[in-house]
Amino acid sequence: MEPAVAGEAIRARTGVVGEQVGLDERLTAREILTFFADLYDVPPAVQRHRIPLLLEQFGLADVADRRVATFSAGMRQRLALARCLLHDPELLLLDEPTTALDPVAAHQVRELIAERRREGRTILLATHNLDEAERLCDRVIILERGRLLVEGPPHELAAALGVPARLSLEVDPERGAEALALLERCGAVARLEPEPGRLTVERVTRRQVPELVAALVAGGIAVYGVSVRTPSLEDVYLALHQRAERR
Amino acid sequence: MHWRRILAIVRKDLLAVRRSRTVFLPLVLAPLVFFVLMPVAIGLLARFLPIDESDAQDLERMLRALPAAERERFQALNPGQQLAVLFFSYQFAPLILIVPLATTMVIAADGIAGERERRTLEALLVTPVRDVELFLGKVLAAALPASLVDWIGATIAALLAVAVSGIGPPLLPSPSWLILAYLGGPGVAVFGLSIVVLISSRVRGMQDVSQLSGLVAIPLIGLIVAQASGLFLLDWRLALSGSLVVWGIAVSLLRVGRRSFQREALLRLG
Repeated sequence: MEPAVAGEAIRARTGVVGEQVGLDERLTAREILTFFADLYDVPPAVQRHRIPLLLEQFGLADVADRRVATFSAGMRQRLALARCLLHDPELLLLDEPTTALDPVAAHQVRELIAERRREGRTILLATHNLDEAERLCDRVIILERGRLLVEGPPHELAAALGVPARLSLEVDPERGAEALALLERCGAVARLEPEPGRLTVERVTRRQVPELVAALVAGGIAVYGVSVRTPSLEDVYLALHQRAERR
Repeated sequence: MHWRRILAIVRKDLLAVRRSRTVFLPLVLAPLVFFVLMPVAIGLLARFLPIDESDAQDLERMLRALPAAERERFQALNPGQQLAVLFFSYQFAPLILIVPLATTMVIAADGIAGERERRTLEALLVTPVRDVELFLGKVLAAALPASLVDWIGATIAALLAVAVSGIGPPLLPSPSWLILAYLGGPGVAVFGLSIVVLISSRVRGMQDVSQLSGLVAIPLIGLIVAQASGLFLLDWRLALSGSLVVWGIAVSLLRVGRRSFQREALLRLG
């Protein structure tokens, strides 16, 4: 579909929540949903059961007849999300849906988005919150200054781009310094943590992990714990950003 | 054209205006002043105002501006009644146009520029509503109540003036007053509305619209001053031709406003 020609048809199949929720504070939640349901051509018979259902699902049933002026930022965001689902759209466009929300409200909104995702809806989420993108998205596109840097499932990006992981080790507390020296001799970039016997090795590949553990054991150092922290989307983004800067 | 969408916009805009004290209060006060207090005061004037020699001369000078046929009707009235008819039916008649003008401009400014100021416009523009439907919704939300307030208010004003003064038609209200109230009023409302539409597509907030749209009332003040100075008095021919000219200008401006009412332009300003 060409947006310039089929704008109305595209808008009818799309639900949008912008960075600004765009709610008239003088109206109640129910009045807003009824108004937008009319604009989206939702038949009155469907409105009669869908509006109470959405109010219920989004935790607004008790305040449905209260003016939006009395709502918290989280309640407004939930109402905006409910509004964009009135016409049962195939595609949801959400722009920074949790910006300016407190942690509890942001968590609630993320849960609501995750539920819509589980329902099988297509959601395009624009966010600067990389942790949110990693948790909610099946695929991510990272843009910098309008240029596409990378695209793919978040958990595959690090491997695909060769972004290294971080290794945490717990060894005999008496032999931490010895373990550090041994790791450095193996070419690892390691450091001792304040907690005795704890070490962190930066920028390790998966292949290096058993080799480093084996070297410690061969040096007679007892290893009590090994944990590999896979790179987050933030690590991926920072690595991409650094590469772009170097170019 | 989806009339359900248009009616939804009308209903929502009127509901929001009713809930906003700062917007709704002027909409109540103006009709109260011009449709209730003014006719009652003029009616009382006819009954109780003493007229001395110099007042009578001024009155005579003002009556000379009327066509001979209309002037003859005044002969049966006492000076107080003559003054009341002159004020109600002619001199202050343009004042009643302020009510539909103010009503339509306040509602339209709230519905168009106010929508942008409250940052609620974007949510409207991402719905399937077409530009023409949004435009019609906003226009009807402002023009319909303004015309209704004008017609109902004018009827109440005429009944009050007749009841208090004891004078009846064709002097009070005069044909020119009736034409202004029932034809000119809605015309002025649509004229004011078209100005708000044109301004709102170019400015960001309601305050900008209010400042610029205040200028629209200046021709009405000019009309009142011209009559008070004895330059002319609005007889029915002038009232009819003036009303039709206002309607013509209003509809032309509204068509221009419709062309500038494009969602891309509205979003750019937002």
